This record gives sequence, C-alpha cells and structure tokens, in this order.
Amino acid sequence: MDGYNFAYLDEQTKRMIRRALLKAVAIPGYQVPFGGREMPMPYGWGTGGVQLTASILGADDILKVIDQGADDTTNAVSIRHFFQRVAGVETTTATTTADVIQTRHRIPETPLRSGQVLVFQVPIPEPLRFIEPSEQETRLMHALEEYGVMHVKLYEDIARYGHIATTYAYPVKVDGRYVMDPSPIPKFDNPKLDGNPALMLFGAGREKRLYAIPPYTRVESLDFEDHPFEIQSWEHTCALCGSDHSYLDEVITDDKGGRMFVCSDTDYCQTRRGEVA
Amino acid sequence: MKKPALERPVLLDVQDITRLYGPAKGCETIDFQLHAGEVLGIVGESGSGKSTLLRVLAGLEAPDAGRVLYRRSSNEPEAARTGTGRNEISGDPKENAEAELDLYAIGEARRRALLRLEWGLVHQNPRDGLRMGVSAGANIGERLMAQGQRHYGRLRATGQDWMRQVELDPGRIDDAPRTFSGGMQQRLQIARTLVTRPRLVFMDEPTGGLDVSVQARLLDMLRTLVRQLGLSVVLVTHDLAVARLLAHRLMVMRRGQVVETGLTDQILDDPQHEYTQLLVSSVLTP
Repeated sequence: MDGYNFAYLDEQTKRMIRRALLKAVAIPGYQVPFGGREMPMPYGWGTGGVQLTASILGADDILKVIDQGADDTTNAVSIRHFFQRVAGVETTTATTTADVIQTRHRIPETPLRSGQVLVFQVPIPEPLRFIEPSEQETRLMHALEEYGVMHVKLYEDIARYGHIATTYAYPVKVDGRYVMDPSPIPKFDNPKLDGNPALMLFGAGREKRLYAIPPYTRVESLDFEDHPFEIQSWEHTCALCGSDHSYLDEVITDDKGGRMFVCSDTDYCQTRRGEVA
Repeated sequence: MKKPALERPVLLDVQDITRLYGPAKGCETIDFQLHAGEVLGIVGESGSGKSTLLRVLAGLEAPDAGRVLYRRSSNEPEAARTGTGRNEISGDPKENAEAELDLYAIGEARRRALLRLEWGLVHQNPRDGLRMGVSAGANIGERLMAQGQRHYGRLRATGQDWMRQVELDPGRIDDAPRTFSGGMQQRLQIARTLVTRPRLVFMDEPTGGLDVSVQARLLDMLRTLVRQLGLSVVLVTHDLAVARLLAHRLMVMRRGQVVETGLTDQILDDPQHEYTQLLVSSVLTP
C-alpha cells in the first residue's frame, strides 16, 4: 500500500522493538520497557500486540488473529484486515498453517509447533500491581525476588471462596525466576505455557512493556501445597463438535433460558467438525 | 556451679549516627548499644529527632554519618533457631555465619531480607503497617509466605494462634482490618510483625491514638509478649508512662541530641538534666 512502510511502523521503531524483544527472550518473564507508538486504534484494542506483530512480520509470513479464541470477532477481523492492508501478508484462520498468531484471551487448542510465534495483547503486565501501586517498588520486588505477596492474593481467594478463585491472568513463575502475568488468558491455558515449542511474546501498548517466554521454557502456576493449581472443567461437551477437552463458551440462544456450550476456539471446532463429517 | 551470664551480648551497636534535615532538625551523633533481650525507650518531645533516629536504625533511611552494626551471637545460628534453611538472609553460608552486619554497608537485598526475617517494625498508625485490602489472616501470614511457607492450612492455623495471643477473636480471621477498631488494628499489626519471631523489634508510639483503657491492655499484652519471646525492643514514645511500663533503659532526646541515658526508674525518679526534670515534672498525675 502506498504511503506506508511495510507493516505500518517505520523501520527504526521496528528495530527498537526487536531489540527489546531480544532482551525479553534473553531474560524470560522480565518486563522490558519500550517506546510504544501511537497506533491507528485505541488502547485496549491490542496496540501492544499489533506493534510486536508489525515488528516481527516478514513479507512471506502467514498471519492468524484471534480474539477470545475466535477468528470472526470484531477485534480479530479488524486487526487481520489492518495487516492485510499495510503489509499485504497472507492471512489464515488455520492454526497449523500460521507462522505468526496474534491473540487475545486464548492459546489455540491445537498444539503449536516449533517455529511459530504467538503474540499476546496484554492490558496490565505487572502481576504485583494489585497489591503494590508503586512502579519503583514493584521493580525492586522483581529484582530481589520478593514474591511473598503473590501468595497473599491466593490466600485471600481461598479464605473468601474456599478455593483459588482467580480464573484468568493467573500468575506464573517463569524459568524459576520471574513472576509473570500471562495476560488475561483463562487459567485453563496456563499448562500450555509450560515447555511450549512456540515462541510466546507479550506486548502491553498502554503500559509500554513487553516480555517473552522462549520455546521449551519451564512455566509454573503459583499455588499452595494443600490447594494445588487446577484448571476449569465442564460437565458439558461442545454442542457443535462434541469435544470434551477444550475450553467452552456458554452461549445464550433465546430468552427462555436456552443455552449451549461451544468451543471458544472456532478453528479447532471447525476442524473437528470437518473430520467428523 | 554454672553462673548465668551477667553481661548480655550486644545486639545493636549504634556508632555516631547523624541524620540532619537542617540545623538541629533530625538527630546528631547518637551513640549507644542495645543488648539482647533489652527494651530501650527513646523519649522526647515532638521534633526531638526520635522518629528520625528510629527510621535510621530500622534501615528505612540512610544516615549522613555513622554506622549501625547488627551483631548476631555466633553460637546461635539463624538456621538452627528457626529450623528452616529458607530463613537465611543470603544463600551463601559464609555470609550468614558472619557475626556482624553493617546495616548500610550490606546490599539493599540483604538489608531488606534482614528487615523481613529477623527484624520487625510496628508503626504508630496501624494503617501504615497493615494491608487494609486483605483479611486479617492474610496480613498475619504475609511474612510467613515471604519466607516460603506454602501450606494454606498451616498458615491459617498460625494466624488463628497469633490472633489468640494478641487477644483478638480467632473467628474474625477472614474479616478485613478496616472493620476492626483502632486498638484491634494495632494488635493485628503486632501479631503480623511478631509471627516470624523477629529478634529485634522497633516500635514507634505503639499506643499513640488509643484511649487510656485500650492503651493499658495493649501495654500489658506487649509486656507479656516481650518477656515470652525474649524480644529486644527499641521503643519510641513521648509518653513517659508507656516508657516506665515497658522500657528497661531510657534515652532522653532533645533537639536531635541525647541529653540523658540511664535505667528507666533512675531517670524518671531522679532526673539529672534540666530538660529531663522538666519533662518528668510536666507529667500530670491524677
């Protein structure tokens, strides 16, 4: 497209972000500050993820964008069109054929392979923020590995609800060192972070921070000895593909109490239906 | 026959501490030693520099000059005392065996670990010392979790045990501190500080802002805990009655300088310095 550099951002900005990404990969889970740019979309729509994607996208890469697991939601469609226009790259909805996958809220059900890059859109990158409002103090706590307060939050959950009620943005410890917020993915997806063959990058546009989990990195979810980490489970199976092991969305179908449970990962669901048919 | 040691070992050695914000604002050339198991009271009027001195001692503010040395007795290694290896200030056993730590010469990481594991600080206002957003149990358990305890049931049992020790109803363990009265919040703050069994505790006006009957019960409880746990305490107060009840030894400060030191009874019954005489005579006795 005329008038724009490839993938919207200028080359100097991309270079700066790539440099920050290299640092992030070198120190898994550490939040690297970067000079975030204004993007032609509001904060909260994935400006962090878009800047990361723009920096790593090559002309022959195939891009997939998901929002809440679906390829056909507003945010996913608009970001996909954005890159079609400003980079002219090929896009897909198939997890297996994509080289770069930008995501909000989910990790695809289909296992990722080595060579793929998953880019997360992150609203609040600092896992300690809820208990410590000072940025200076939280950085010091990361530096000195003072992570006792993370368990204060989990303790509070159990005291109040009888179990760990944190269901998304569930804090993890990366490579035995940094405590990290895995962005608002459901804790159902936390086990997929551990030892994943794909490179996972996290970008927070408003907070101007990025961090990474390199392939095959150890990622543990925080828990108590007598209240171990557990993922969500459903009594239902997917109403469309019958899957009993994927993350399900509850969809209200009418105003008489009718509802159905379907896979939140639309590509996974469609692939399975294709196989069954 | 084995005789008890008369001279208790020195725990805190303060050498010529100076921290001035302006002429006669702050504290100047303070020099004293705190022995193990001793309660030292620092008294003086507002602006005499006692709180500044406490902040310097407690590792919150670096002094302009002077040193704060913390001595652990060598025959009582930290790991043996608490029974866990996780309590160590640093991973290097050689550093832990070190008997003397210069508070402002060691790195920030070790200083913060020391404050967290072996020392405690009780603020005048319980809101400064408590996390108001989380329950009483989480407040008491925080220091334990920072030490690496990861068993919810045990954390909770310890929390209830400590609530009993500071005379709070263990049934309120899940209540937020803001639903507690001022005196109860102060008790909670004390429980939260003492749960890791610190060796040295700094208290800044622990009974300030409480009414007299609540003060009396809190003081009584503090005295019991200090004796039971064998704590060493540096207590800052402007209230001579509090000092008389708790402190073994007193330091009287005025305009940033120590004007008189001695045993509590000696100072209060037979003050030598004119300022101390004024201070003691100005106390109303009903």
